[in-house]
Amino acid sequence: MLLTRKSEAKVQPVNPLARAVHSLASKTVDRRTFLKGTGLTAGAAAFASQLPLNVIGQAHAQSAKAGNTVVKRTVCTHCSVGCSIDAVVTDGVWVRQEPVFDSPINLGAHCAKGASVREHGMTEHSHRLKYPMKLVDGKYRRISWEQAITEIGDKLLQIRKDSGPDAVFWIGSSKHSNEQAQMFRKFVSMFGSNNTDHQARICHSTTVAGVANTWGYGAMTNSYNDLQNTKCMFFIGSNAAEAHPVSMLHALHAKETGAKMIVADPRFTRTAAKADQFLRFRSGTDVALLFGMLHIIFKNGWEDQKYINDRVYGMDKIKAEVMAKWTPDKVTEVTGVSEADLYAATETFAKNKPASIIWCMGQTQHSTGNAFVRASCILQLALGNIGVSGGGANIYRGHDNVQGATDVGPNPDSLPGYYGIAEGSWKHWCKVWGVDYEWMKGRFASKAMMEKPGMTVSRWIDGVLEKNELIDQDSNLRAVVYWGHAPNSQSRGLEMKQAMEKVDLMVVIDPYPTAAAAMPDRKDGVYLLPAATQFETSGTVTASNRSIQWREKVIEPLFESKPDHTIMYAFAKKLGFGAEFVKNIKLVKDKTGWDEPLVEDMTKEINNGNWTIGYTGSTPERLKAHMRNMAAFDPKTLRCTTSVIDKETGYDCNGDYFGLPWPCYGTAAIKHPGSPVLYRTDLKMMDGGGCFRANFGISRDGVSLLAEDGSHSKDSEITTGFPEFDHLLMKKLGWWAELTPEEQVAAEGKNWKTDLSGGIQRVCMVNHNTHFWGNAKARAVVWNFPDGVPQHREPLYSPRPDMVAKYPTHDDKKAFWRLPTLYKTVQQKALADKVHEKYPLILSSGRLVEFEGGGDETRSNPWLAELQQEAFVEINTKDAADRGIKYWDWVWLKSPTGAQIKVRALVTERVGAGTSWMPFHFAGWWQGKDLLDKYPEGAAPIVRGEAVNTATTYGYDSVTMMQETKTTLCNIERA
Amino acid sequence: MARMKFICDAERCIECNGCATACKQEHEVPWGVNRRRLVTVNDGLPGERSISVACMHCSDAPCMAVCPVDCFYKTDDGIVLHDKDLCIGCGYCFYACPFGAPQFPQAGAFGLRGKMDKCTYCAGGPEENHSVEEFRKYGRNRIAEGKLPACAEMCSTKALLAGDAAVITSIYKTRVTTRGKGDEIWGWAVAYGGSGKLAEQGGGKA
Amino acid sequence: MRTILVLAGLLAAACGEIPQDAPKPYAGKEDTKAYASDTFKGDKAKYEQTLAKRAEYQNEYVRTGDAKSK
Repeated sequence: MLLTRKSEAKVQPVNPLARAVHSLASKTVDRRTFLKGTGLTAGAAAFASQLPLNVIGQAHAQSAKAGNTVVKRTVCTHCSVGCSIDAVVTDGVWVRQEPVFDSPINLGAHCAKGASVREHGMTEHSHRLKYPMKLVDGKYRRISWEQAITEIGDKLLQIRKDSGPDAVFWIGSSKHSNEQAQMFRKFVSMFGSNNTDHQARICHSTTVAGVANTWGYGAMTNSYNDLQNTKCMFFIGSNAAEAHPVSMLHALHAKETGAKMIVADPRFTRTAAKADQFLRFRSGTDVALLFGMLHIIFKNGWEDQKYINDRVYGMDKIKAEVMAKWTPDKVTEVTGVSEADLYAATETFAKNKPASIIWCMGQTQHSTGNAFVRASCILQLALGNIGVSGGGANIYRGHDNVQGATDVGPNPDSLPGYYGIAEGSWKHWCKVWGVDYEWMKGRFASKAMMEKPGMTVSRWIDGVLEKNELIDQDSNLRAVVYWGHAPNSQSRGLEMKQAMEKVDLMVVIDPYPTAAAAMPDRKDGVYLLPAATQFETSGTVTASNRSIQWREKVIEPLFESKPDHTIMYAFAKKLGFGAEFVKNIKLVKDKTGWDEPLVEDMTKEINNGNWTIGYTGSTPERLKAHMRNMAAFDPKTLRCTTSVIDKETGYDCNGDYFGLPWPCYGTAAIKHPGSPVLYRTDLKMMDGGGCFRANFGISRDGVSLLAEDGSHSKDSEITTGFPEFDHLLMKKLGWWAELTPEEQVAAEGKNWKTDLSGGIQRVCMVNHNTHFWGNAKARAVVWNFPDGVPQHREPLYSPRPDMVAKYPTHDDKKAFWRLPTLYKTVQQKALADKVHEKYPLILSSGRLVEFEGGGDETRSNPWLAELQQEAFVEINTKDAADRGIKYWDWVWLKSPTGAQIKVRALVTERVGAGTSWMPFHFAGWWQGKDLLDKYPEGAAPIVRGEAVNTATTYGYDSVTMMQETKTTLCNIERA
Repeated sequence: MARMKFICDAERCIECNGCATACKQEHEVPWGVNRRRLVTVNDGLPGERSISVACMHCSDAPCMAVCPVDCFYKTDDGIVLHDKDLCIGCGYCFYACPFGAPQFPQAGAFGLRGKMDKCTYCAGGPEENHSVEEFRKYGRNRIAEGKLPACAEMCSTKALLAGDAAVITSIYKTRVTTRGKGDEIWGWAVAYGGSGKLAEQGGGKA
Repeated sequence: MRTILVLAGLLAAACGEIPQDAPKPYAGKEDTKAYASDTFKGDKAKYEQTLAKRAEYQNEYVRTGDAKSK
C-alpha cells in the first residue's frame, strides 16, 4: 500500500466507510488497494456463507486438549529457499502452522506464501480439484478413478500402438518430490519415450547448460546462507525480494554487517530499493553489460591473475574480445548504462572480495541465455570468486524442487543424475532399476529414438502443430499430459490453445485444474485427475543450495486426491510395465486400499544410482536426523561442529553440513558431510572441498585443460591436474588393491560414475583426498556451444533495428530438440514488418511475492488472492501519458502475434521509459473474457486475470530451447 | 512489568506480505478485513520503503478514549483489546486511530459495519483463553501459550519485531549499531523536519 | 524522575487534563489473564521470562554472532 503525494484518481469506493478511508488517504497510488470496494465483492464469492455480525470466521475445535495432536515437520512447497514449517495436526486435521526457528536456512522466517500454506489442508471453500473429472460435451463431469485410469490408459495405449510412444508428451513437475521426479523419468522411459520435460526448461535450463559446461556442475555454487559471508552482492536479473524473500534475510544481514549491494535490472525492483548501486539496463543486453565490466576490470588490472593461470582455460581469448569489443561507449550504446555508473559498480564489485553474483530469470529467459550465464561465470572466474565462501555464482532456482527434479527427474536429454541418454547411461540406469537393458530398448521405437533427446515443454505445441515432415520423429504429438505443470508460464499462448484443441487427448494431473482446464475450446478429450500436494505425502526436496530436506506427511490426501507416485504406479500397471516400475520398491496399501510405492525405497533408489552428483550419501536416515536436529547447524557455515546425537537413531550429526548439500559423495557409510560451497580447493574433499571438473578432455588445440601444478583440493595426493578416474587409472596408480573384493567386482570396467559400489569414490576421497572427477580448469571458452565466446545478440523481437544490424541473432536451426527452430527468419521478418514501430514497448514479465508459477494454486488461497486481485501491466509514467493512460485504467496490451489482453495499467516509474512489465502468475481470462465457466465447478481460482503469455512471442535459447520471455515487444492502449 | 510493542525495521522490510498472511492464517481472518497490511512510500522509486502496520497497542490509545460504549481495555502487558459483544460498530475508533487499525467486516445499508475487528497482538479477547468462543470472535491466543504474534515470528527478514519493548528495542539497537545508520528514520528529526539525513540514505541511482 | 512525573500528573489534573496513565473505563466482559491457563498456571514471572526468551528468535545475530558495537 502506497501513500504518496501524487494525485491520481482512484477507483470509486462503493461504501461510505471506504470513502471516508479514501478521503483520509486520498492521494494513493500503488499496486495494492486498501479496503478495496471491488475486493469485498469478489471476496464474498470466496466464502459462500454470509458472515454473522460478531464473528470473524468459522468455528473450529481449537482446544489442543481435545483429540490427538501431533506435529509434523515439512517444508514449504513454493520456492527453492526451503523454509521449514511445523504443522500441528489434531485428529488428522491440519489446524495450525508454527515457524521452525531452529532451521539454519530460514530461522523461522516466511514470506506471504509460506505463512499461509495451511490453507492447502482446509477442506471448506477449497478450490482444489477434488475428484477425477472428464470433459463431456464441453462440461467437466465427475468420474471414478477406475474409469479415469481405464479410459486414459486405453487411449494412451491406442495412440502408442498407432503412432508410437513418441506421440505422447509427458510434462513432469518441479514440484514433485525427488522420489516422484526420478520415478517419473523412469515411467516415461518405460513408456518408451524421451518426450518429457519440466519447469526447469523455462526457468534455469540455460543456467544448467552454461554453468556445467564452464566448470562441472550447473547448480548454485554457494548458498543463500553463504551470502552472510560476502563483501559484495551483485544481483543481475534477480528480484530476490519478491522471488526469494527469505533469502533477503541473509542478504540484508550481510548488508548490515558491511557488504555492498549492487542491482542491475531493467526495473527498479524491490530488491533494487535495498541496493547501494542500481544499474538500469535494457532487457536482453546482459553480455554487453558483463563484458563491459570485465573490460574495466582488465583495463585496471583488477583480475586475479594467479587464479586465472591456475584454474581457468581460455581467459586470454575472452580478454582479447572484451578489450576490443566492449569499450564503454559500445556498452552504453547497447545497454543504456552510463560509463560512470558502470565504472562505479565494477570498482565496487572488483574491490570488495569475496563477491557473489546472483541471477535468476532475468539472465536465463533469453534466446542467448546460455551466453549470459557464461558471461557471469567468466566475470567471477576473472576475479577469482569461485570456490570461495562469500563468492560464487549464486543461482536462485524457482519452484521448491526444481533443483531436485533437474537432478534426478524428467529431462528429455538425460536420465537421472545428468548421465545423458547414450547406451552406457541406459545400461547404468537399467541396472539400478533392476530391469533388462534389452527390454528397455524394446520399449522405444528404435535405439536411435532411445538416444535422441526429446522435445521440450517450451515447444511441445510445435510438436503438435508443425508439419510432420519437418519434425524429427515419426508422428506428431497426439497427446499431452500436464503432470504438475501449469500451461500459462510458457510463451505463445495463442498457439498453445490451438495445440490443446488439436491433440486427441489432454490429461491434467495436479492438485488444481490449472489454466489448462479452461484454455481450450473443446467438447471432450480432456481429463483432470486430483493429485495430492507435498503436504499429503512424504519425501525429499532439494533446495537451491543443494541441501536436501525430508518432508513428513502432514495429513492424508484430501478429497479423492492421490500422491503422484501412487497415480504413476496405477498407470504403470495399466500401461503394462507395473512390475518393472517398482522392481526394487516395496508397495504398501494406503488408506484407500490402493498400492503406494514406499517413499523410503524410492529414496534409496536415488541413493543407489546418482553417483555423478553425489545423491548417494544422503540417505533417508541421515536426512531425517538432520530435520530433527536443525538447531545444531550454524547458519553462516551450515555445519554442525560438535557432537549432536539424534535421540531417535543415535546418529551423530557432527561434521555434517545441513541437508548434506550434494555432492554428498560415496555411500552413507563413509559419512561425507556434503558440499555447501563447490569447487573449494582450500578444503579437503571429506570437508566438502573440491576442484573444477575434468569433463571436456585433457587438452584443446595443444593447450592443457588440466589444472596447473599446485592447484588442487586440500591435501590431495595428486598435486597436478589430472583426468577423471576409472578402473584403469585406479590400477595404474596402484590404488585398485585398496578396494574390497566386492567393490572390485562392481568397479571392474567402470568409472567413478558407474561403479555401483562407490569403491572408487571411497578410495580416492578417503584414502588419498583426491577428487575422482579429475582436476581441471574451468572453461571460459567452450567449443560445444554456438558461440565459443559469449556474444551479444539482439532478442528476436528487438526495439532497436540499428542494434539488430550490428548484433544479429543466430541462423535458423533445422532439427533442434526434434523441431525446426527459427532465429534469423523471425528477427528479419519483425524488422521487415516494422514491428518495433507498431509495438514500440519492450514487454518483460516476472514474479510477484504473493503468487507462484502459473498461479492457479496461490490464486486459490484467499489469504494470498486478496493481496493481488487483478492482472496489471507496469507502464512508465511517460509512456502512459503519451497514450492517455491513467493509473489503474483498463488497457489492451497488444502483441505482434495479434493477441490482445485486457489488464489494469499500473503507471509507475519502476519501469523505465520504453519498457513494460507484467506478472506471469495470472490466468483464467482469455483476451478480455473471464473463463470462469470453463473451469470445473468449485475449482476455479478466486482471482483470475489475463496471462501475459497469451501475448508473448516466438524465441528460444540456442542451446536449451529456453523461451525468450524476458524481452519481446508490445503496445498498450486504453480500453 | 512487560509492555508489548511492535517495531518494523524499514531497512529490512521488503513488502513480502508474510506478516499479513501469517495473521490471516493464524486467525482465519475473512476477506475484506485486514488486521495487518503493508504501507509503502515512494513505490518504484529510489528511497522506496515499506513498513508493516497494524494496531500499535498505544499506551494512550485514542480508540479507547473515544469509544462510546467503553468496549476497550488494556491487559497488564499493555495490549489493547476490546469486547465485540459490546461493540456497536459506530466506527469512532476507526476515525480516531492514526494507523487505520480498526477493521469492519461489512458494508451494509445505513452504514452498518458489523463488529470492529483489529489486531489483538495474538492475545485473543475477553473470553476464556483458548476457548472456541475466543477463536471465533478474536482469533488465536498465542500470548497465553508463551508465544509472540505470528506476524513478527514469521517475518521473512525479521523486519517486524514483537515482544516486550525493552527486548525488541535492544534487538533493533544491535542492528542500528551494526549498520551504522538507521535510527534517523524515526524520531524527532523526521517527524518535525530534519537535517536532510533522510535524503542521504539508501536508494540507488536510476 | 518519578517526582517530576507525579508533579506533572498533578499539574495536568489541575488544568482539567486527564493524565495519560489514568485507568480508562471498560464496560465489557472480564478477560482471563494471559498467564492464567495451563501453560503458566498463574506464574506471571515465568510467563514474562518465556516471552522475553522467545523474542530472541527474532534476532538472528544470536546465531550468527557477528553483531558490531559502536
